[in-house]
Amino acid sequence: MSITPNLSKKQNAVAFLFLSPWILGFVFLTLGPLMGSLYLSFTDYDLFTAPEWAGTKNYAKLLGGDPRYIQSLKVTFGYVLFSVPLKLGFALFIALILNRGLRGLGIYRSVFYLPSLLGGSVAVAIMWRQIFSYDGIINHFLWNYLGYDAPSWITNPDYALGTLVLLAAWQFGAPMVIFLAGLKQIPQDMYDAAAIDGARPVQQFFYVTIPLLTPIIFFNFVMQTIGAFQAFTPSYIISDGSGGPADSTLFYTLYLYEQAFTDFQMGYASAIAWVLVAIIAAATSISFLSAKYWVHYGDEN
Amino acid sequence: MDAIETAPPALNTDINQITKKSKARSRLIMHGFLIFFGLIMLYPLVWLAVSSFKPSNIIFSDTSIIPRHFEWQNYTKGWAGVAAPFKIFFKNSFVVATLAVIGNVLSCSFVAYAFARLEFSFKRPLFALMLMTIMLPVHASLIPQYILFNAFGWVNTIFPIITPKFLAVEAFFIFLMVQFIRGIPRELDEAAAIDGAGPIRIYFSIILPLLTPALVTTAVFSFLWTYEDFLTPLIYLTSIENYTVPQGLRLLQASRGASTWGAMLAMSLLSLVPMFIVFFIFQRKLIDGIATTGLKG
Amino acid sequence: MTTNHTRRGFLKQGSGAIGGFALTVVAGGAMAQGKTKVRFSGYVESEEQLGTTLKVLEAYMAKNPNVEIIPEFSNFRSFTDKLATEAAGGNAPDMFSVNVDLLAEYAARGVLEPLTNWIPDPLDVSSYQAGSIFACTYNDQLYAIPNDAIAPAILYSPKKFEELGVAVPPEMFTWEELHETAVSLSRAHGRGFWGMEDGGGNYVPCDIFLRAKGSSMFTPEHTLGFSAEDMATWFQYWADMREAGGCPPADVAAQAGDNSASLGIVRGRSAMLIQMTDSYVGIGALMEDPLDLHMLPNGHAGGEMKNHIYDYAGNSTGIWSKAADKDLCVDIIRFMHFDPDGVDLYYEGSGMIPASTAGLDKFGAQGNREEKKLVAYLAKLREDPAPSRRPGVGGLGGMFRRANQAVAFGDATPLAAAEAFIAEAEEKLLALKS
Repeated sequence: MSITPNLSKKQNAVAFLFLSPWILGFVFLTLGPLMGSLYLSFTDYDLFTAPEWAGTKNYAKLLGGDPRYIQSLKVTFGYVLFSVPLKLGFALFIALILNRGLRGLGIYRSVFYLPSLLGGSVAVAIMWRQIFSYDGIINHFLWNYLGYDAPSWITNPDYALGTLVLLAAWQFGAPMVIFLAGLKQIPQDMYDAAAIDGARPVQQFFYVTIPLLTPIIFFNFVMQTIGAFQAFTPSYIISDGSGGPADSTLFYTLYLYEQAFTDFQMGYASAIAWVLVAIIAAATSISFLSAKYWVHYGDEN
Repeated sequence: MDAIETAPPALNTDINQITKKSKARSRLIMHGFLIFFGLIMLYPLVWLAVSSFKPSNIIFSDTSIIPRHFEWQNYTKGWAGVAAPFKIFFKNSFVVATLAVIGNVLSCSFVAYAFARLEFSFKRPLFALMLMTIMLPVHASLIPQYILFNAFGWVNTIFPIITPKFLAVEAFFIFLMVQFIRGIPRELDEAAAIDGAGPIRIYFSIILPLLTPALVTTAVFSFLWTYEDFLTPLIYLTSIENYTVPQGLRLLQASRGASTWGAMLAMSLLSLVPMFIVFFIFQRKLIDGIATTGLKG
Repeated sequence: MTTNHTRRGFLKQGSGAIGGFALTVVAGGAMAQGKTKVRFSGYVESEEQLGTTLKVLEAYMAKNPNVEIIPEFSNFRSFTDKLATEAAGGNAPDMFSVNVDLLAEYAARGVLEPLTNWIPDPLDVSSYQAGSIFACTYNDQLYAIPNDAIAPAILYSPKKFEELGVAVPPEMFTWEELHETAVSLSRAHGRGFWGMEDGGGNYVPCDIFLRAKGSSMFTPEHTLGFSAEDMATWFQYWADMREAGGCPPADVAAQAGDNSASLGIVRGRSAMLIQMTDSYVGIGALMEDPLDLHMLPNGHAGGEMKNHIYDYAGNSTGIWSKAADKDLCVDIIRFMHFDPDGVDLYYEGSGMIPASTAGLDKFGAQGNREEKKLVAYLAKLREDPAPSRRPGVGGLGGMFRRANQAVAFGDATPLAAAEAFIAEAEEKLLALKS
């Protein structure tokens, strides 16, 4: 590392000038609600009458084996485990293809992003049913051409979560765009230098493209994981807010939401939320620790 | 958007090693794959488009992909609206989404620069704290946040949506830009520093231009995600005249009515158009990219 | 109402900081001077209802130029989230809609203002059917004025019955006959079609079923009115129906959800559906074939036959307990429900059936074909009125659907599902009383 003394010194004044928007936002907008919700997690609070101190009761309740809470944990971990790699795999694969010099790239890029534009809109729920329900397009083919009377994928406890994983994979646009931006930022002279050293395209891919893309791969991985742990909308819109059938799509945050806004147990819901913060923080810390071994930053070498 | 301009280095450098014939074949395969895959991805959207032209009483029973006749009424009725014309919702969405773009691009790039390049006290704990703010599920802080914003007198104004963007509350974008800035070789800063540039000048003259892909990405996502956000406008934009597009669509989704499904699908499709246009325009910026060659000292 | 001053004050400073641009979206209402503002929030079940509601509010403002009513409507699910947040934040709308389950929650926790002081003057509810009044009553006080009357019914497709050669059951019939009818329909059709949708996850028909056995879902004292064994017979009834092929297997049944677009009857894979009457017009609009109404079974084989079906308030309007000008809110309700000019504007073409007997008579003469059918159905129920239902608890629908699904997917026996449901419901009732 060749850092000039000038840059290695603390630059508190100028740094906090650059940080000031975030510090203002944190102090005035974020900190209050954050602390408020932490406080509520130690109370009995039904939303409409003043919260009453309850100590660790809420935490004891959820650690003591609330069966629906445990179900929501299982569903969420399953979703994170399958949706994150699948979505990132798609996104990276398509981004690499789209980064090659093909005609009509703008069209392809936009077409592949289109499903993501739908986000969590009502239309998604209807469309997904058109495809995966008992009388949807897939079963139409299976019955008419193969004579197979298939289940209703979207409302069968064995497959319902799978259709949500596919929905996540279908909406891979955001990480794809970020990968594309990352690929764009790889300096041309890195490739020139590799070519001069006689690297073939495959070698360039493994020794230039992938290492220089690792900060972006890392970013997408961390953010998609956090997003998947907090996933709410897919199940909310597709199961009509129930997490059904038979709680098979009861996402962690959906259970939290139900406790807070349907059952008016905001204290318990807040405790559920803070346990999620702990889970996500642990997962993120592990990612950051592992980053030392595989993420290469341009400012390090 | 022609092929030469977008050809990545990997292909340029060894263009002579591959015969033209096999190159053409591999391109054809690539196109074939992308088109096939694209069509599968698009099927649900085609269904949506076709259904938006069907009368409500056959949308869900007649599964054919070719409409028997075009029911323009879905569009005219949906656009005219009952509570307010749909164009009001579009206008409101545009205002908040545009302001969100400005806010996020400005504030997040400042903060990201500090985290990525400057040395200051408590850097690591502050970074961890920043990431932690996005780990709490929204529903858990909704009520404390509402109490706060209500005390500010912000209910039924756009401030609860916009102010957080100008104050870099969206850690997603800060972290994104940190990763991009850290990908920029530090020698560039050092060269500038030797020429006497301070951190502020380095930010404006070195980092900001090289950060274009990340800034474009931030701009696109800020627009799209603010435009399609439902929960925040639902809670804070309370009167119908201030509703955004997703809230307008929910008004059409009152599913017990006689005539709303067709109009709801029609407006759902229409609501995608501005997003698609914004995406299409911005993604060209990603293609054009930036020429980093020669900047390296 | 009182927040407008501070809001305006803030705008003066805030607009400088963020730019005049922001002002374009800021509440137009905040700009108007010297008017009393009333925030009216609610859920609407159809575009038609939204249209007539806005019309009647405008008429009120035309008559009272010093009043500005700010409409804040949405669909049911987003409305409940928004209302809960606003009420918790001490900034609830001055007046808002509630349904029978929310009413108990909001009344018990002091969010709703009891209307006792305004009865009978100006709110004279003596012409309202007892069922809708009971549904708005909690602890002997009326907390809201019913907007419309609804009742459970069997929605069926006469064309499917005809095609399959199965006779439509008589008006008064038993649950056993319903079972046989559904099974015959399925058999006559073959693969991919079931006589009726699974109704086991709906607590309203369960209440009717229990009443024919001498118990009920809730008592007037707001406690559960049945034993686990009672309820197990209900889940067992649907398990038998599923087994015999009269209703679809669990996964297909679960498709129905809250979404009328995925109902079997809309998709042409069933001929009957138990639903509330306020869905009748909306579901019919999604079908090419005509849709008709039939009474639910009113007894069990060998038992007494008597009408147990009641109507009640589907949606009603109440006032926030901290509203600044409650008399004004009451006056708006009076205009919508009791002033002949307001009533005409509010109900005509809204798809809502008025809860008052007078309104019902008038509507029966004026409405369109579907509305006349609805009015005739409700009038029939009132010939020999059944005791009304009482307010339940929030989230009741979800709890009940889960219990039935647990049985359907084989995760629980009918008795275990009933016991789990009782435990969950009692916990919620307890929370309400503490």
